[in-house]
Amino acid sequence: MRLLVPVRSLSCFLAISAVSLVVFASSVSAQEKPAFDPALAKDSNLPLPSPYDKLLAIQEALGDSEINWSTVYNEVSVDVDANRIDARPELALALGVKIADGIVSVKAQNVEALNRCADQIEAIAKKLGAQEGDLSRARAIRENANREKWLNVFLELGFLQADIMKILNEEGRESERTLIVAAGWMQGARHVTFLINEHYTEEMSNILREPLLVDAVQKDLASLPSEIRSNAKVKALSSAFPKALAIVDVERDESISKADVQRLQSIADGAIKSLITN
Amino acid sequence: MTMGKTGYSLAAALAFSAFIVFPRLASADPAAAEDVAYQMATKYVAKGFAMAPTDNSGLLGMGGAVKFLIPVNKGLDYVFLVGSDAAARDVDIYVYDDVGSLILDDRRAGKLAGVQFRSSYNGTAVVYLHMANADGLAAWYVLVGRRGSVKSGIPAEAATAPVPALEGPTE
Repeated sequence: MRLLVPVRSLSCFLAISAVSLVVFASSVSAQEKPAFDPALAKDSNLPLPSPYDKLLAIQEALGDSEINWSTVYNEVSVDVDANRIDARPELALALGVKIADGIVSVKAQNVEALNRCADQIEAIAKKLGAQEGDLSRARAIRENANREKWLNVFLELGFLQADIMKILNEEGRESERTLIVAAGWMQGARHVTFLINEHYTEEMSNILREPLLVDAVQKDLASLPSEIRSNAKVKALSSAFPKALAIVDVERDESISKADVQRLQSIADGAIKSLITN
Repeated sequence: MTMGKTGYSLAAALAFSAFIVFPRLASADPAAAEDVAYQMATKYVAKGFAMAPTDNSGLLGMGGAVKFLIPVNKGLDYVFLVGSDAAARDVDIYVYDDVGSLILDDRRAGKLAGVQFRSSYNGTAVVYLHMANADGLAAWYVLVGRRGSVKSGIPAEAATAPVPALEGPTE
């Protein structure tokens, strides 16, 4: 059969078209990105609990020599025995508490305290369903701590937490994730208020300001399934958040009175003590 | 039957056209995105940043976006990095303060994105990741780093910018 268009011409045409498409596509991607509309963005999970930023901000304000981080750790941290906890929501709460303590042990550069936290985090994570392979970062944490590479410890601790959270996300246990974040925030508040009360200045008190995040945690707690919300420890923690929000919801650069900082410390103390008491 | 020289040219042209015209099939690779993010993080650890994942990772198609709440404290330097897999073509970041004002963005073309800023307030930064271009669904993984600014000696105006020369693990 004879083609209407010579084959050689057709192949030339296709090749030129293809090259034109490449040029067109690259010019579009370089000059015209699809419009970005913040209103259409999906909300992500709330961040993992970490008092680290606030502790660093306090350190910046006071200077290195003013803070004995091991004292802060010893005064505020709590030990958790995973063997004595069976209910999954309570394991999640305990994990949040120990994650916050672990971060303070890194700030304290205290190998013994860090190892204790890592042991307790591993034990709780295993009861929550983590396998040995999921916790491989724990080894890297200990190795870096022994070499006093504390920023690497912080990095590996963060990835260990993320690995544990991944297990919860995969199994559709978002509720437990919410409990970890909430308990971690509250234990972090205990560490931070302990320090601010010790060294109170009006300017430093504003480090506690955090209305958006605390409001978001409060809303996540309120939307938990009723069977989890009815757990006594979850109830105790949830009831502390509106009181905490009232204190940390201040304007930029507005101070929080010393009495309110002490009140926040007392609210956080009460909530965490109710979590760790059997 | 044998194919002549012209026939080979035609087949090659058709194959090339198909490669260009039809979207390449790519499968999202979350593990690759995490590895890239980890490699990026180690570079910032060496610069004194305390880096950690935000536990935010996932898949996005072209045009998709995710919003993050990132706690920040006044006077600290922050770095916000996004690692991605091979399916990501162009990732952008927008950072807003907690009253909705844009602090800075990184809209450079590229599959990795990063911004550095010094927080002028205590509270929360609202960060958006925008997958401006991707082959199908792309995997992403977010990391945040913080560092005290007192010892860094870097002036505030120099501490807020898209991260320079962000080239990922193969840098």
